[in-house]
Amino acid sequence: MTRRTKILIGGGAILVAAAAAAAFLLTPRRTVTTTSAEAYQEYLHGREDYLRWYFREARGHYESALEKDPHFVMAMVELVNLEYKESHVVNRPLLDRAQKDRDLVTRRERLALDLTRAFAADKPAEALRLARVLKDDYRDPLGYRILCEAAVNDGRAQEADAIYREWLKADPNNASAYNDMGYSAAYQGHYPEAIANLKRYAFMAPDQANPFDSLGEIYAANGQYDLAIENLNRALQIKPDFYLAFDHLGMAYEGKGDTAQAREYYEKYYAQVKNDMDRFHAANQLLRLALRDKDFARAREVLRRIAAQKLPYDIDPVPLLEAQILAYEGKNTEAREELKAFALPAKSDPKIQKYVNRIVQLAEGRIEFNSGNYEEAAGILREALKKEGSDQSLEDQSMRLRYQAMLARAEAHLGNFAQAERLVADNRRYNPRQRETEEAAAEIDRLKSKS
Amino acid sequence: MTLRTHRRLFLLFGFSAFTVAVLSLADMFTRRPNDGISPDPYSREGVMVHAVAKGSGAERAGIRPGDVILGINRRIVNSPSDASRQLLGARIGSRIPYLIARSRESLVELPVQISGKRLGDPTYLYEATIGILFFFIGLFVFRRRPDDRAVSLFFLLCVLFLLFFVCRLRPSSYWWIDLFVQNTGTISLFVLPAVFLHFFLVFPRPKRLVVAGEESGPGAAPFVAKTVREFLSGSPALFLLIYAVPPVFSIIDLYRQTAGRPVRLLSGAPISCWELLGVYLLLGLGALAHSAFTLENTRERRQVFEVLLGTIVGTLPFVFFGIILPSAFHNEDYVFWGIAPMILIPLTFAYAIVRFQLLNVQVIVRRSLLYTAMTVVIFALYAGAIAAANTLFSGLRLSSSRLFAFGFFLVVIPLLEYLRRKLQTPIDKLFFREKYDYQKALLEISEAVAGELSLLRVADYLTAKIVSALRVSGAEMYVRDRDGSLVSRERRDERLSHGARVRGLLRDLAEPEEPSALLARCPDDAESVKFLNDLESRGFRLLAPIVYRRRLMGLLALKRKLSDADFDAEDRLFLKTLANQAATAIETAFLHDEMTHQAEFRRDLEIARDIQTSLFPRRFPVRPGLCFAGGSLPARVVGGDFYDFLEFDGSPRLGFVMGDVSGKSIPASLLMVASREIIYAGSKGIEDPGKLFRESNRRIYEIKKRMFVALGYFLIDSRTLSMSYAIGGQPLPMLHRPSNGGPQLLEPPTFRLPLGALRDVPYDTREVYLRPGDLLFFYTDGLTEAMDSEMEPFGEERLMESLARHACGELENTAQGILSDVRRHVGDAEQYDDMTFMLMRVTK
Repeated sequence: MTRRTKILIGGGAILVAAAAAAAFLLTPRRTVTTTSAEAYQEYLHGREDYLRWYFREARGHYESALEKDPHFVMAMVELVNLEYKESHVVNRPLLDRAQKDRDLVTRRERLALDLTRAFAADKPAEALRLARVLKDDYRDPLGYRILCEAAVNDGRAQEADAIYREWLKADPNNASAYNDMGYSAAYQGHYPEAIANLKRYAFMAPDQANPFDSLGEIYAANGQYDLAIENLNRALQIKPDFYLAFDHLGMAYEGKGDTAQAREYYEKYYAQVKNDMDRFHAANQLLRLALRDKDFARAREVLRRIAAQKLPYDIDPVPLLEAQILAYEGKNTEAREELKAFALPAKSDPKIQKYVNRIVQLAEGRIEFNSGNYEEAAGILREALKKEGSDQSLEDQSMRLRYQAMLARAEAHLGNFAQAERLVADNRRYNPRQRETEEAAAEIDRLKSKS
Repeated sequence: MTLRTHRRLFLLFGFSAFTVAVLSLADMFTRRPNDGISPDPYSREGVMVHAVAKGSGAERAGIRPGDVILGINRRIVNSPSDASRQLLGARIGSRIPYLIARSRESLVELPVQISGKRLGDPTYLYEATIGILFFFIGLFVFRRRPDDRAVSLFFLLCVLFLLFFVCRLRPSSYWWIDLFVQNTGTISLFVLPAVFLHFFLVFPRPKRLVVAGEESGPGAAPFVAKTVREFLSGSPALFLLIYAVPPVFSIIDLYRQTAGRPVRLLSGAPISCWELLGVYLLLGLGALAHSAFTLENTRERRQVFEVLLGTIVGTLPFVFFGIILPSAFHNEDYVFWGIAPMILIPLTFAYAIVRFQLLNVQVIVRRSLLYTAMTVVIFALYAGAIAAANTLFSGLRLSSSRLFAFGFFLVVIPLLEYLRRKLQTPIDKLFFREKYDYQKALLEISEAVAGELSLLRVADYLTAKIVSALRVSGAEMYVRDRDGSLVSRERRDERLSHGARVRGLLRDLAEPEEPSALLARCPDDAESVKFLNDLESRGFRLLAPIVYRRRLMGLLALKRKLSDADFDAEDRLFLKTLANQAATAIETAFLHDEMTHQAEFRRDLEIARDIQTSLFPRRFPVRPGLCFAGGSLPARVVGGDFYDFLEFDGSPRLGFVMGDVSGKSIPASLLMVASREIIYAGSKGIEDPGKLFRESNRRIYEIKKRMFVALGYFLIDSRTLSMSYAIGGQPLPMLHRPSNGGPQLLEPPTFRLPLGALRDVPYDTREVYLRPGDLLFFYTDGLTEAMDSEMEPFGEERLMESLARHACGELENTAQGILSDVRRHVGDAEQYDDMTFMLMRVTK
């Protein structure tokens, strides 16, 4: 054998070995167990659709995967989680079916199964621990999802953002991440970022109503009412019974000053919602609009509707709302009396308690402000508007901005113009076109020039 | 690192770069779904649009450079490879939505029509052509002279230019290979300026800074000036600085990017890289200009000047349009006008290499390539002629016939062949002048040495031709002598001077091989090293072995070229051919010498035989009662045997001496004569044969050691019929006494060693009394050891039988009879040794 032949054979062998090694290293390792390649593909498609919030399509893929391989544990786990996401009901038979094959599957699948079972058994600490392992060891979407949802629910927005960012590096086509990060940014007043995230989501899922509704809501909260209306209408075009869009359209028109249109959409929203809590929310929107228009008869009519709703923990909001109406009517003494009649049931949720107490404080602030007790009002409002992290919702943010405008006016009456202007500027950072803020700014200017 | 490893590493780098370039070309010219966007390959969290092709779907959709693509076809993309995946899934001709970020958070969705257009355009093709031209020129030069530092640098420079043109000056693509290609191109951009400057600092000769007035005396310059001068005169620190500056700039850019400060990019690379390239290009041009105006050799100056001209015209527009305009005026519209003239750089180098053997390469474009180009031109003429003929004959029915084209072809081809031949001569003259000179010189040498039989004149002629053809400052030829020494055949010196015994070198050169640099030889013996050192100190640079039938005949040693250039492959080939011619001529001269020697030797032998024959007694002595017969038959021209009679005036005694000298031919013959004279002289004063032998032995021993002579000395007293004798190394004579019934050997003396074997031998004397009728037979061992064809010796017994058989009768008949018996035994076999014998009969 000549030297040249040896070199050729040796070189060829090295090349073949290198190619084989590269193919081995580059081929993604499967960490899920299935006997069917088709089932695996269906599972991958299902996971992709799930991430993009195409739940119906994702369900179709998972079910198809299970048809092709009835013992496909990961498909079962994903399906259980999907169903829970949609209906908040745990598919226990499916979970038990998956449990039978637990010992035959990979560690990743066992972790996912155990996590789902912990979640179903209401063991959040265990579920979070397993989610963390799944995320760290396998960059598993289920792990990310559970951790993110937990952070969002607990109001740990920054932590949620960090996990979402990490998740997006692994999979940039993630509707959940863009949606939640969008809202999170909006709560912190980072509207351009919020809009950019939701636009990404809308780009990914142009046939879903949700991203356009979210975009509309955020535009509305940011004072971009026309864009909000445009996106909300698009959401309704896609899904005409998407009732949240009516609420958001009402907010957009309300912000724009078209209270008639706003009322129309709030009414539609009220008509579409199914449960008492949502109906209470819709009625509240109508009540606020009536008070803004000083249409007290309509306000009382809405209050009657509210009185018919049953709220959690047997809360009776009527005295609180009656007090607000009286305050708007200028009947401050009656309002104070009415407010005293309001009491929270002893066994209510601490979160709810905190929230309602804040509402009460704000109502007291309004009454004092209406009474011309600016110092008193400012003290109450300052206490009530003390910031604890970011806002918990856009509605919460909107309410805060309204009362912050009132505080600014109170500060101006007290001669604290710098503080008043700072509050107005802060409001404008969130919504440069909010009516109450602009009214406060005008009043500050007037008082400032007078002094 | 060995030269071979060094060469392999360079080639590995070159071919790796070429592979990347091929990948780049494949990427640019493969038909794939295309949106017309050149992305920034380093984009993260979206794909930054670097450029948008005119008329492309992206341009029509309103996408502009600077936009960031966030999504393609309903998928979010973070990197060009994400984008590539989405694009590959798109159908050509379809419109797919793009999510574009125009400012920080302003996102728009635009529909982009996907085409199947290739990304590579004529501009890129042109740039790639320049790069590939560079590569092949560099590769050709490197393969010819891999051991030359400047050539290695030139190759490196060419490879970097290839990467620069093919991988750096290309539009980006989404394909995964793009990042790899672009990074390779960027690395080339870092290294290219330093190598460019480095090359022109050592080409065509390393630069040395000479300060005016410094020649007046060493140490005159102040320390600082001296240090600066040494630093700028190609010091390692200078080159370290040259290579260190680009990485330092890139690290600064990296730091700025990390710190969040903006770094301006030009064609995807930091602007500082381009500015540095511009500065280095200008410095390199300065170094080249320095060479063009300061080189001593006019021819070299002219070569470098032409290279300078091409490089300036090729480089300056690039510095202006490609670097100054974009960096100072933010205008990248005219970059191509800077790149276009750069093709002049490789073309200038190619022209200089072909025309002037720049970088010591004889011909960059091989004859075949030139002829291919020529054939293309001719066939273009042919095509033109056909087109003209078609136009001319278009109205005729003749032109519609298929035979018309064939007939036209038959007519045109001989004309084109004539044209080709006419063109070939001027092309040969233009591009192959050096080769013509060599061929001419070889023809002259082969004609001259073919009829030359004098080694000295062959050496003179060869060295003179080498000096004139290769334009070297001196040449010398060494011929290996018979005893293995190298003998210098110096010109203008008629005498031969003995060279050293250089066994190591000779062993080293024994295998036929290419001429090689003197310093490449590493013999292991001190004499060879001394010999080489001596050659080196006398200015020799190249050794070419002269080998004939795998036997080293000698070697040619060449001094440096007058141009100071290195010996290139063409020179070595010429020298090897010349050495082959020399080998044949030397062998012929040797054979002629040999034949002359042999003729002279034969003549000397004939003279020696005449002399030897004259030493044998012309007639036998006459003594009453004694008669003699005998003679000598030499085995070669001159024999080692001898015999003689010594007569003493007025005495009845007669001496007879018979001898056999060890060895044959002239030396043996001379010893024979000397021995004879010693015995003859001694016998005059010494009667006792034993004593005579003792004395003579000492003298013969002194003449020549390891040569001895077998002698028998017999002193016969014809009056008393007694014979005293001493024998040294000779066979004992036979005595045939009829009354005894047959021949018998004489009584042997105690000491019978040949004379001259040892210094002192106590030879003794024996005596025998003869009777009438006795026949004594003296002989040398040539008779008893005469062998037949089966190597069977005649032997003592057969000789005795022969003597007994022929003892009666005339003495001459006895002699003839014995000789006949010996010849019969020998038959056709060659005579092994001289055969000498003498018969003596007592008649009284």
